[in-house]
Amino acid sequence: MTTPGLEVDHVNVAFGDSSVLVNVSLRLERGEIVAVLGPSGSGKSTLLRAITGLVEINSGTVRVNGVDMRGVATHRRGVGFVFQNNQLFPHLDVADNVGYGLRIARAPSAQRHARVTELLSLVGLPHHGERDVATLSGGEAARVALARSLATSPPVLLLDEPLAGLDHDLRYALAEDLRRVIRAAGSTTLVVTHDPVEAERIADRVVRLVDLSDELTAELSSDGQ
Amino acid sequence: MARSVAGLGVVTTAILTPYARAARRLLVVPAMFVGVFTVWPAVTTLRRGFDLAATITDGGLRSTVWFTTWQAAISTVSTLVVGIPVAWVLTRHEFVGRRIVRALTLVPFVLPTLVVGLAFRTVLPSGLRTGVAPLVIAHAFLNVAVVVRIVGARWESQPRGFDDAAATLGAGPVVRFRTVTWPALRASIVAAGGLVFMYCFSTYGTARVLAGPSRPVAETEIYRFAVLAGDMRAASALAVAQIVLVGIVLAITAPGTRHGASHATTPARPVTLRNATHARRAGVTLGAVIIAAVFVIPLVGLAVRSLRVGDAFTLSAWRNAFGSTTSLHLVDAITASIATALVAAVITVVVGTLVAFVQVHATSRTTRGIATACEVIPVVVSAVVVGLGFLLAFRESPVDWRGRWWLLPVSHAVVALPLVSRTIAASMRQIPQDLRNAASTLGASPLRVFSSIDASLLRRPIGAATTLAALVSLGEFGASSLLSRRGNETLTMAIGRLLGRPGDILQAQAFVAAVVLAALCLSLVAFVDRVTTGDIG
Repeated sequence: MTTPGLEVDHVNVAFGDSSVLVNVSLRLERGEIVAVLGPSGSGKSTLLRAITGLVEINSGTVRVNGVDMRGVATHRRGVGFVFQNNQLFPHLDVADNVGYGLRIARAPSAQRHARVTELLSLVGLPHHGERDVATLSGGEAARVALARSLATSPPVLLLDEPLAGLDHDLRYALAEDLRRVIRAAGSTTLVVTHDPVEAERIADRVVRLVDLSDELTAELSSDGQ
Repeated sequence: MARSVAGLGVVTTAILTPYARAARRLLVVPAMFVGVFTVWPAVTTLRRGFDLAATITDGGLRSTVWFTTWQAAISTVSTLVVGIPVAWVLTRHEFVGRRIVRALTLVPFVLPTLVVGLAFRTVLPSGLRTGVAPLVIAHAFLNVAVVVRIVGARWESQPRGFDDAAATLGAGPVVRFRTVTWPALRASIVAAGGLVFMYCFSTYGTARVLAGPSRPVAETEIYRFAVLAGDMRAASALAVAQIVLVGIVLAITAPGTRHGASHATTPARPVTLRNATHARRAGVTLGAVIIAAVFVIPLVGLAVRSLRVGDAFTLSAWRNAFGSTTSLHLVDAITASIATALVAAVITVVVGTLVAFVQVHATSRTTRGIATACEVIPVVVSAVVVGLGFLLAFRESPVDWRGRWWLLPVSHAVVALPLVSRTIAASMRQIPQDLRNAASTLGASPLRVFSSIDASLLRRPIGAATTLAALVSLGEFGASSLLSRRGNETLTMAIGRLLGRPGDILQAQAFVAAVVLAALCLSLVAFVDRVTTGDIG
């Protein structure tokens, strides 16, 4: 049996007195694309932030390609993250946003340019490198954010409601694109969304957040009725 | 989607003709005020200074200007080095007592520089009470608030997501600061640095008590030449250097101020300490404790010093101050200070509101330009130079105003004007044009629109601006020390006079006056804070 690409093992996260994630477990094979479904406020974003290390976990384990991430700083985890509102750096143009991670990794300039060009065409935005990010449409910004996260070929890619904020038609068209691009990159991918249709289009497998945690399931189903 | 509309509706660019017309007519008041009470005195001073261009090559004056410049540069760098981490602690984190610690950093800024200088002197070791080091430290202490306000505001509006995004892309803390935070803060740091440099370059009250006789700065020298040596020509020559250098610094850094200010967006959520990493929690907690201690200790030192005469602790300086046979008539000085502050505040707010109104509502570029000049000229002309200009300009008929009581509050109004008009203009710009449009579609006449919309929305900002003006007046020492006369001595004047005289009891009385002045300033701020925040609840 091969080592899973991403493993979340009985993870608990609490903010002060309120528990957000209770014994959440999840396992992704290498290169697998999984979507986690849940209503807003259910802790989906927290799950992603816990995996990247942006939120400290109280107990449990996160493993990337079998390596325990405990005590590993966010910037050393090799976990790419596409943020809900993209978080494109306003002082950098499109190409410099996409090339940011490569610059940090001290990739030679020629190689960096080649990779940025490759990614921009992959996401369908060739020749947009010099644009100011403030002038991008919602769909374009989402593509640039995806390209930026994929540039360093992270072993794991996380997407937080990547298509939220886009209108209906664009959204489902982009979902197909997203799947194609991620598949091409080969990263183990976890995407969270509240939209089942979007989830189906992007992912190989769809799970509900409530099903990842026994206690949470019990709580939510009794609350729901 | 709701998120796309956030941030719209705060820009007032549409033209409302009656407002523009009113702006053009009202401009005459501030233009006259600044013309008569700033430009005319400054020009009189400049003409005197140019008579003696040769004196500028004078070694003594040159070394004064040189020292003033480099101590301001070192002070500015020190203020930024201290202020940026303080801004980080106070604006990027949420913890119990944050508001109190933040308010503490503002204390030296609302206190008169003279009082801050004195407070500092009480806590420094005796060998280090005067010289460059205490001057630089006091400047940093005074101006950290400027950095916290300007840089902190920008930092607060920087979404945390950028930092997080950089981290997921492999950037460590240092790289994140360099590639994400620094580019966002740069403009505001330059703006804050320019302002701090200007304050430190025109330092007067602090320098009078901390720089020491062998290290005179431009402003204290202007005072010495004009008042003690009676050498108006040398004083004018220095004043020219002062105006020119401050003008240059302002021209270089002012674009940054505007750029930095235009960025104000919704604040990012600060990090709640409870959820932060252990290292960060420890760092921030320690930082907050140090900040609080550094800002409280000098004030305590000031109070303690007023109880010491020679080597003994006693209440005699306080008792004497309220007695009749004494060199400090505390009650008279308090009355004079408050009366002057009231008159100055009224003048400043009237003129400042008009300046702001013209800047915000005039459509003609020339009209707006003149209004902006009314705001900038008093910044370039320092308080001591205002005082000197008054002495030189208003001594011949028809403007022989020597010894008139109202010259003092007017000089304070000149000093406070830029701060006040800027505060009011910022609030005026926040009023959405559509509110006025809505009122007019509901049948309100232009005057009615102004009284029902603008005036009621501006009530609180104008109240705050009045306090600001009164605070500046209470602590004003530069212009005051040139205009001081017997008869209506304010607290700052009394402190200046007592410090210059020998004797333990007189020295202790200077500290008594400083404690009273500090208490007056702080209670004014506390009172206004209470009134304005009480309204909201």
